Amino acid sequence: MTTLATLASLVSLIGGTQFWINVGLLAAIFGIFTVGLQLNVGYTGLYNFAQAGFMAVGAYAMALLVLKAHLSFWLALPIAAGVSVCFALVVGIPSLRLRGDYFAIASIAFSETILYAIQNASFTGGEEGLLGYTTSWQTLSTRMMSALGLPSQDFLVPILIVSWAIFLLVVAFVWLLTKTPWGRVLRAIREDEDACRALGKRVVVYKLQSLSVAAILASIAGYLLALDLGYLSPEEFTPDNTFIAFTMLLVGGLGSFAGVVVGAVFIEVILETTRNVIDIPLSDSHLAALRFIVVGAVLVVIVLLRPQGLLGKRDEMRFRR
Amino acid sequence: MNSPPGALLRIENLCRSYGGVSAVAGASFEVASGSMTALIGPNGAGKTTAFDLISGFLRPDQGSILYRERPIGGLAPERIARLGLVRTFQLTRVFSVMTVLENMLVAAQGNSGERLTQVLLRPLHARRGDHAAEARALKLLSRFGLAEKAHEYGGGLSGGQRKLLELARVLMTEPRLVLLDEPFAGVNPTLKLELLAHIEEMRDAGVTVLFIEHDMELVMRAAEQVIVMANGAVVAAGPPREIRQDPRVLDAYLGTHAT
Repeated sequence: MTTLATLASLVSLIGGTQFWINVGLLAAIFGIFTVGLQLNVGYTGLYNFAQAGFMAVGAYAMALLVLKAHLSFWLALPIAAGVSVCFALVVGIPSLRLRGDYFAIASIAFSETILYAIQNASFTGGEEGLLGYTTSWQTLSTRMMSALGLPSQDFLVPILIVSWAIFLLVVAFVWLLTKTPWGRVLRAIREDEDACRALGKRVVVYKLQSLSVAAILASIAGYLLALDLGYLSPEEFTPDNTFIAFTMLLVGGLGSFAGVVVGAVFIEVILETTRNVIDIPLSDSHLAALRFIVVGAVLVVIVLLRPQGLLGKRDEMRFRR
Repeated sequence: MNSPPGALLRIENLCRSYGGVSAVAGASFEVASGSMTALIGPNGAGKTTAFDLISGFLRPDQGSILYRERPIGGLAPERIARLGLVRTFQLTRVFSVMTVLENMLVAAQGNSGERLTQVLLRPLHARRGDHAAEARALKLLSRFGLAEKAHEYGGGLSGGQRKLLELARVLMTEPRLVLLDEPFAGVNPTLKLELLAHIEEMRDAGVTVLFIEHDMELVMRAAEQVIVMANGAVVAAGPPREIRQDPRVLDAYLGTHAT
């Protein structure tokens, strides 16, 4: 109990409620994003570096459907996810037939290309971004706040609740998927693609399905980020997001879905405390660099001390090549 | 060349080269239905390349591959496997971070739970296909002496156990023709006999077997037909007793006329 009390006082000492709401929100959003990577990397052996690109496609497609096509927000959500899946197929179909490293390279290139396209196209608003797609969400959010009796400064609580609910649902759903015979084929592909083909498995189809599920999850993460920010801007969708998610994945443990939850919270706490809480006399650009140095150092320490990640299985690690 | 009606696999003038080196250069042979046929030849004769071509892992440059009178040259490996033509690899390909039982279940064919659409539409039935497959897998595992290992990781098996598992896994697909690439390589004499007994049992159950092997004594003992390859072509084919006397075979192995 005393430790809990100390922890609580420590929590209130650093940051305060708004700060922790923000950490929780980002952890849930990037947690959803990382569940997709877990399915790809941890279960299919597919090194997907395009996840930030799929998130951008999903978020922008949703905003454009609402703003330009005047579609209802709720209808735009599934359609935008479908658009993201189409992009996943476009990247995947030519490159997934090749060796794994070609797909990794193609996926990084895709993510960068999407970013440049968003920055330079006029219909995406370029560097200025997009605004004004949140009306439907605001209505729901206000209703939730009055139902919960929340004061107006806690305007982020509804999105926090929704994000965590979706995150936990997504974790449960994808975990259950991996427990099916379908998930077993994915693991076999991760272990040995040629052996799978020799047993009659259509490896490319399974890889595309795995990638499509990840693209849908990236889109969901994109919607939530878009609602959290209230605007869309290319700088929120840089490939850095994918690399941060990879650290969440490795810190939590490859193959572990509980690990994604722990990894996402852990990394977001580090990223946000080094940004906002600890007063370091450095310029903004230096501070930004320092954050990543800290994350990198944490990753190195964890890989050295616990190569399977915080919640990964040690005996699985023994047999990984 | 008239082929007997019993040919399950018929290869004609098969060619494949890699960057100027022809690995298989006009090979022709047949595998009779229900037979146990050995494919022998010195290193570099093109045996494994022939296997890769038949199983779809390589596309032939020329020639035809007829399986059950149907051309399969150039089809994807997974399609060929689904037709009941299943291969193993020279180095065992066990799924390491999966249990022995899971290794077997992956090999079962026609499991609707392996289809994402089925899993999403009928989630409660996703594991239905596994029940029958699991019973069959456990039966096969106990036949191969691996029942106790069913719930251990494939990566923890010894070299010999991996060979056994790979053979059991091939049977799990309910094949019609199996191509075994050096199934006895690097195996102790006792296990060799055990593997041979399993393969013979497989043949007796109606599966046609084509295997690559270097141990001539074993070939003479096990095979009903022997195909000899050298420099990418078939130099002799026939029953083991005839092959043993054939000067072309001695020539292929020794490089000069052994007269």
